[in-house]
Amino acid sequence: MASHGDDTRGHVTCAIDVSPAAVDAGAEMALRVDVSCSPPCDLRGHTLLIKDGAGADAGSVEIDEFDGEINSTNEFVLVAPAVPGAHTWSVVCPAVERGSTSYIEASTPMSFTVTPHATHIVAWDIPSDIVVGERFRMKVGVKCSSGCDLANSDFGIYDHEGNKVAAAVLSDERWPETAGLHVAEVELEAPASEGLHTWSVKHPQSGLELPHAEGAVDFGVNVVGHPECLVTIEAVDTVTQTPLSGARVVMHPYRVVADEHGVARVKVAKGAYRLFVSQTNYLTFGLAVDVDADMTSRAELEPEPVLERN
Amino acid sequence: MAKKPDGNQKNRKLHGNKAVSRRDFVKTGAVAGVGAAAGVGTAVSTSGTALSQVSPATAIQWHYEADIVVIGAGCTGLPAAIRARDLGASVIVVDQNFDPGGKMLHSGAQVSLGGGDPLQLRDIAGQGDKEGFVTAPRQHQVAELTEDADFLFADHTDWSVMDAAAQAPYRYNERELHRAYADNCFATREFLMANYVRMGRISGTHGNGGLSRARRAVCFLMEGATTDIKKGTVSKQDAGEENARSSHFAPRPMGNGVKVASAGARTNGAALARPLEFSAREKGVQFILHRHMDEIIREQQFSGRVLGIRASYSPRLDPQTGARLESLWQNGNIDDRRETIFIRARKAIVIGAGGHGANPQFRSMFYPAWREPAFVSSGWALLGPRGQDASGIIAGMRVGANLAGMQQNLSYANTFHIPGILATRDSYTDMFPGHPTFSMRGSTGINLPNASFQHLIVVNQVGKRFFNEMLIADRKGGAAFPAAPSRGQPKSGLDHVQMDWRNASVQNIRATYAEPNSIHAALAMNEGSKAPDYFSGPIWAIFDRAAVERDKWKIDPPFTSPTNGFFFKADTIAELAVKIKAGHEFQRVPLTHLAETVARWNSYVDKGSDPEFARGSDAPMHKIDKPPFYAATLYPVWHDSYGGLRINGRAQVVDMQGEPIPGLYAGGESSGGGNQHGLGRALVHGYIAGTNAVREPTT
Repeated sequence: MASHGDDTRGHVTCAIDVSPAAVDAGAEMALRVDVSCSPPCDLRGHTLLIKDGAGADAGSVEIDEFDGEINSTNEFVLVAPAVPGAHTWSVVCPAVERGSTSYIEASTPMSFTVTPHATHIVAWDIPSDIVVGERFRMKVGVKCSSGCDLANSDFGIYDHEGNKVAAAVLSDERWPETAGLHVAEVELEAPASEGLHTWSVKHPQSGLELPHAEGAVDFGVNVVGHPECLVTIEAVDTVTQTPLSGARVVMHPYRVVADEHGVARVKVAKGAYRLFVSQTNYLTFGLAVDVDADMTSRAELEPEPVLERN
Repeated sequence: MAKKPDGNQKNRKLHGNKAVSRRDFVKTGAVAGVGAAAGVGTAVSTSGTALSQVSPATAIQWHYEADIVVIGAGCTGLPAAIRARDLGASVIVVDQNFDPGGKMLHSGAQVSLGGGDPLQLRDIAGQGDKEGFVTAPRQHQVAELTEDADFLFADHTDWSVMDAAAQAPYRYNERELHRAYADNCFATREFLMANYVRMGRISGTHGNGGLSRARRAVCFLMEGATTDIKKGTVSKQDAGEENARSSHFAPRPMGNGVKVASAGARTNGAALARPLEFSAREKGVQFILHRHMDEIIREQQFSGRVLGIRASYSPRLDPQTGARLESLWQNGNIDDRRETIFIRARKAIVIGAGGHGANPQFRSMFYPAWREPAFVSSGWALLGPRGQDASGIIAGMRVGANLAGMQQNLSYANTFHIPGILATRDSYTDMFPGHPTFSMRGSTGINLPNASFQHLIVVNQVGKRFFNEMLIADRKGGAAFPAAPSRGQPKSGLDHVQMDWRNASVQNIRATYAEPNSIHAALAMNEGSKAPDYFSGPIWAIFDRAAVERDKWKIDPPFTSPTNGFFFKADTIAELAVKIKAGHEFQRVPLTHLAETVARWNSYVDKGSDPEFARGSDAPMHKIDKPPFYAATLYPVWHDSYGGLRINGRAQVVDMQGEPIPGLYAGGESSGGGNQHGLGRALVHGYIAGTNAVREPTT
């Protein structure tokens, strides 16, 4: 510990917290620096310099907290480089005098990784059953992890053998209720063979200013033969016998919704099914059925009991 | 998400600075005593001296004294206080909350008593109530209502009964305590009705209230132009509006009581707690609210009489404004804001401070996984951060009390479970804007029946599924009337036979076991669990826009909050995972597997089967693929507390030698040895405690 009146040389040490440790190219990253002095001293108001990998100025920040032992900056934001890879910058605490103590300049490296922007893809509204060879439509949405505008960018759809079966462009409209999901509707032709096929949507590395990784997502294409049998389901409340409009009927992979009379009609291939009829606030009705001809079934749903709370 | 603290140290200090002067304080206390019967809690000399500076305990300078000091204004404390006042004692009730009622106030007000109680007799006779409110038809046959206290006692101590979780809920009950319970049910039902509590038709029996007879009645008030407890009416404003609005009077909107009483009847805990509070205040019981009992003072730590309590200021503050919350009714309140006060009990202390459901250290004695601090007790917003904190039990232990029923937390499916209310930390019950504590929870929650779980998946803190979602919020009711195989018994209804060995046979258990065990999977360690506590972390329901549209869920405020950290919306699953990690207080690790889990789930839906958790055989499966995507907490809750202070048939707290601690009484969830869900246990204990406490010698 230095005594008053002595001309003493002091040292500073920096600890740097970078968040996130892996940051999107050109995106903001948050930093916070703690500065310890030996001997301890109050450095509030002193400015720290941020140097990039080439030693150029990348920013500065003022120390604004001192707890009697450690000096700290508030969290501050820097923009990450545009080039993906490992980077090492440095935080420089310039020489400073406090009282009779001269603290020499200290430079502390800070390392972080820059990554290409991730491209997240969503695929939905794919029919649960698609008849062999028929055309079907689906929706695709794409979003950049840093919120880059992906409107008008290209994407492709690839079948289970890796063949590109469609190319499309994202519209400049955003899907309702989302913050920035650009979408496109695509029409496709089902494969000629029955069964569950795994297809994919791929959004290639774009020509955008900042690097973007290719995005991809798989989705299922459930191809069925031509349905031969009409199944009619009448859904009613078991207590009141009133029709359950909007009741959902599932005979995997077939799905339909009951009309205003509580009646649902679905054409299915011959076979064994688990028939489900469900409706909000009702216990789900389940029944094993063998379909080899047109058939009608009545599903009486019990209201779901309300749990006691005491 | 940032909130102002509720009752923190800083704010306590602030209020301490603004506290009334000693002169004002004495005046306040004296004024509070005016108009009450002679001897009701009077202010005495003040010193503010900490107990640690006082020796012996008899040298304490008491700030208040009364014949009976009741800790907790809930369903043990209020009947104890009223009963003691009825018998001529002065009574001070201390409660850490800003408003009386405790957990009872947000309850369903289902009071199972029995043993031939007045309501069973009323229904047997085919009569209504004298006010003409109860006109609904009787719900049970005479045989289902006919019993006596001996029969009830046998039901409550039946060794043979097993429930659907293969637990024996009655076998371990304290016998003397339940003998007293059975003997006092009749008087307690009469007592409640004499204190403005209206109850409807007997309808079944709930949770561990006995298998052989119907014993439950629900409390109600009639909707009227004004709230008038004497006349038995509640205004529309005070009753609240179902699925829309709470009120200060009723933290949860009151329900429809037409089935148990008549058209216009409104039911829930407000119809029990408010009449009892009204009666207590009318009879001169004094309340010191915002006051947490920290210590019971005994002549010597493990010997002699209990003398009084030390209590600290525990203001409930509005999380948004920082203003102190105030009780609905003020008459009888003593407003004392000093940090510490001492209250002398001339005759007795009654502990009705509730259970331990919100104390992670305490509850982890029963189940280490429950040391997870994220999960709270039911009524968390209403009761505040110091409710259900085991303080009554701990204070009793410190003066030598024994414990009882410590294993019984594990004997009832409702003790801790996963309620089907998403997007709120306070997941046992709903609450709507209109009650002063709504802002503490910030959201009502999305209340889903079990069938609606077909539309979502549930993941742990690392984003992995861990159970069949259709069973996650499933729980089996207690073994209570009517007996049925679905509740674990071989015979149904009146065919049930008490003390029959066949009830507990291996054959019966094999035939009736139905415990889903989902709660245990939810609390299990996962790859995000870290030493030393290995917290399981939060649980998330993950769903998409299609689920919301398909099942017509209400996901806008007040059902969810965009800021309380219990509900998130995102354009993609990857973004959803990031938002959860950044925005939820107890999300300690990233949901690394979430995107992969959702993709895998969607592939299962395509295949029509779930090889991991066998979804698909009990309900249809639905993809999670239509943006936006949502995450809502699905939080386990510790509701009931079993295991607490050992009490005898007089509700006296018993020490490690089996002797009563002179002057110390307890009941309800502060006591153990009575594995009975709901209000009946606590109400009867309070009645017994109040009756016997006044018989103590005055010191």
